[in-house]
Amino acid sequence: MIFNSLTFLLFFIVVFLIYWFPLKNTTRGQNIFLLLASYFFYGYADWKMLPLLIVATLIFYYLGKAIAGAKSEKQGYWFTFAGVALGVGTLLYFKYFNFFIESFASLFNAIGLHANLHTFNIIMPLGISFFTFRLLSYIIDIYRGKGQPTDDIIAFGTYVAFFPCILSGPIDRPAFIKQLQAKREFNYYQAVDGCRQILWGLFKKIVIADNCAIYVDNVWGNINGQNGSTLVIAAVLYLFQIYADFSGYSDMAIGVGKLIGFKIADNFKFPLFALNIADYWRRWHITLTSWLTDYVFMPLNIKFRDLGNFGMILSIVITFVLIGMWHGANWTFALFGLYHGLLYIPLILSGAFFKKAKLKTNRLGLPVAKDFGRMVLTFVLVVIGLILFRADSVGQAWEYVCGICDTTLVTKPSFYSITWLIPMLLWLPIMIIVEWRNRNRGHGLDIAHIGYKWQLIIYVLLTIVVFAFSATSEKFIYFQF
Amino acid sequence: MKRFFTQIAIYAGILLVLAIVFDWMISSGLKKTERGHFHTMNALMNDSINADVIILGSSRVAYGYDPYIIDSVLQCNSRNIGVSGQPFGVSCLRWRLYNRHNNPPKLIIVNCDFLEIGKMVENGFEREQFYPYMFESLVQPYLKDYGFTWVDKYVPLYRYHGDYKLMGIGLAEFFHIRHDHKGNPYKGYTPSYNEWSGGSLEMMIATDDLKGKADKQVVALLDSLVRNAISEGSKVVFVHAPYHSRLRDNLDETVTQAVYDSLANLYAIPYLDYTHMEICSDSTYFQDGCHLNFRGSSVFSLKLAQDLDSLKVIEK
Repeated sequence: MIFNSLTFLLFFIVVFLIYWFPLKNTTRGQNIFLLLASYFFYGYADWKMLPLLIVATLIFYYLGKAIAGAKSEKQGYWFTFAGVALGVGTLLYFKYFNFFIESFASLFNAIGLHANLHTFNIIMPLGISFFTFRLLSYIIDIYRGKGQPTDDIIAFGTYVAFFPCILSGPIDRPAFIKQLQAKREFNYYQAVDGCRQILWGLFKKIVIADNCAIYVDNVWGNINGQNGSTLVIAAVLYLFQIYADFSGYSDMAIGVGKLIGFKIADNFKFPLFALNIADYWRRWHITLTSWLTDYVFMPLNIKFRDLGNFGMILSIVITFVLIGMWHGANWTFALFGLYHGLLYIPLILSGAFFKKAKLKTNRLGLPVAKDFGRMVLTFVLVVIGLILFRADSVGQAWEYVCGICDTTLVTKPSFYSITWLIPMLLWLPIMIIVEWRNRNRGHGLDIAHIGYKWQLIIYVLLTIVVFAFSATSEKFIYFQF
Repeated sequence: MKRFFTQIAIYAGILLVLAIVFDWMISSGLKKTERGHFHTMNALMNDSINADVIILGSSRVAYGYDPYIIDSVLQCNSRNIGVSGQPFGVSCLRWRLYNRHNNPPKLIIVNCDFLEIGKMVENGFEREQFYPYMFESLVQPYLKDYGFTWVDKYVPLYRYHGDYKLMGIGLAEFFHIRHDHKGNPYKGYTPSYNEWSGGSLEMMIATDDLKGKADKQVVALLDSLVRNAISEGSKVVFVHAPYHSRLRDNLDETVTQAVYDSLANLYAIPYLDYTHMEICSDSTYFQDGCHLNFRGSSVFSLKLAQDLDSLKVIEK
């Protein structure tokens, strides 16, 4: 069930009431209930894969104990290796098996060898990329001595299957288990902020993202029939679509978490205002980037430290190729990752990579010209990369780029109908302005500092906008990952 | 917690009041509009049409039967209440709505084709026409077939969600800011000036099941309509409007034809078949395999009116 549905609303009302009323005074009771609710939530979306989730949870729970209780460093290492191999292997099987088969077949055919390789009808479990990473960080942290295994299997199971996050993140670290083991008191301010964040997430998802999708899908469905200017607009709108879709989902997930007393990790920090590509990735899908930074980039960087800047570049490129591939089994994702990795080269060579980009504003509260230029440049670079991300194949991405680099670039774009255009012209600038104004706060609708009456007016007006301008409910983009 | 629930209650309360008020305003406004398919629906619900001739059926009626031509030949007042996207069940609804507010017509023309008496399936096509009439007793049995659920019916304003244009039209009508005639058909007739689309016909032939089907429930509705109309003094005529010959030659209308023949015999109803008119092999008279364009409907409507005149089914 998706967050923006009546089914989820009914589900969550029941969860909220039972969680905070009859189970208020029992943390264990709350955790058991959350675990059951999470399994119900997951099973509702994909009941056939629920056993996989439960079995994986049990295996990694006991693996964690085995690693901590290992008689030697070597034994601990092999337990960890086994866990990582199992987790990564499962991910590789479900996500990438057919991709590798098809790629090998293409390669053999290209060199004149006919390979009789068969793909299987493998159905990818929902959320596998997300919960696998949670499981892996648990055992790796134990091995590294950064965490202790928990004896509380209920808390551990809930950490893995936590329903606000299981389908599309954020990817919380094992420290989240401490929140599950601590007593939770209802906090009015946290709950109200959670509601605000849910409302903002809804606005981004069903007004901005779903309306952008109407245009973007139309254009991508017929690339050859479009002029260059239309392709440019669709490419730009796709960035807004994917940002609003994914950050909207994350906002809703975090908001739901706040309502039941949890602090879930932030996943987006206004990446549209990034000053360079490194800054962008510090703001975009933060939990994935930080996960791969801690578990891939840092070990690689240490391994290649003797190679100086080249070693760092190599570590970053490998990490970003993996970030790309995490999104799916297609060469487009690998190239997407490679593209972003290569964009780091100028930053590393100039030393800018090591400095945190600081945005300067003028007395009107707008970015100074130099920083605005950097924002625009970063924006353009990201838009270009997303062409690869959106394309079904490298060939299609190339076709798209060729379509842009055409004399029709300077012709009038097609807008199809005004049904989606009016919401875009009205609400997309509003989203950008609101997020700009609140860029130093927790989320776009973090308006606790303004008067109560004005807050209420804003909530009611925003709800009306969400109601009136929602496009047909599209699935969340990141569900497919 | 109490404070939280109080705030939620205030917020929800404001939204509920606004939803009820806006639902009433928008629905009231939409009941006045003459835009598109609201035109006929509103006329049926609100006005006294009191037509001499009623033409009912699917989109083939809406696009194909020109009341202007029929009126001028038969010297009468005819009304086209054809409805797109649904088989006969919804045509029957329109007939019932007409019948409730108006005097029985002298003549009812019932369009026949291979899709008219098929099973009603939920497709939600042009469902907006029912938005202002969710609690209308005659409409309610059909709501499920249009994909409406209890939420659409009982939660104020919910059915309008995402349709800001429609809400705007309703509010503009309510406040007398703008009266909308866009897409207003002439007495229910929507002339089409579209060019011939052969691609859709070929796709239809390649992919669709072109065997006419008769659903028992829908046939019972048709039987009931004909019987009641005759008992109220109206004459009934079955008319099989033209198809493009390429479609006609690929259709299997055995089942549906048997139903129409049976009813025609039972109630002594004239059956006028125009599926072999000369225009059927000329795509310049059609917009697609099933639907006449303006040129085609003019030719067909004139022929039909002349035939009805010679049958003397209606007194001038």
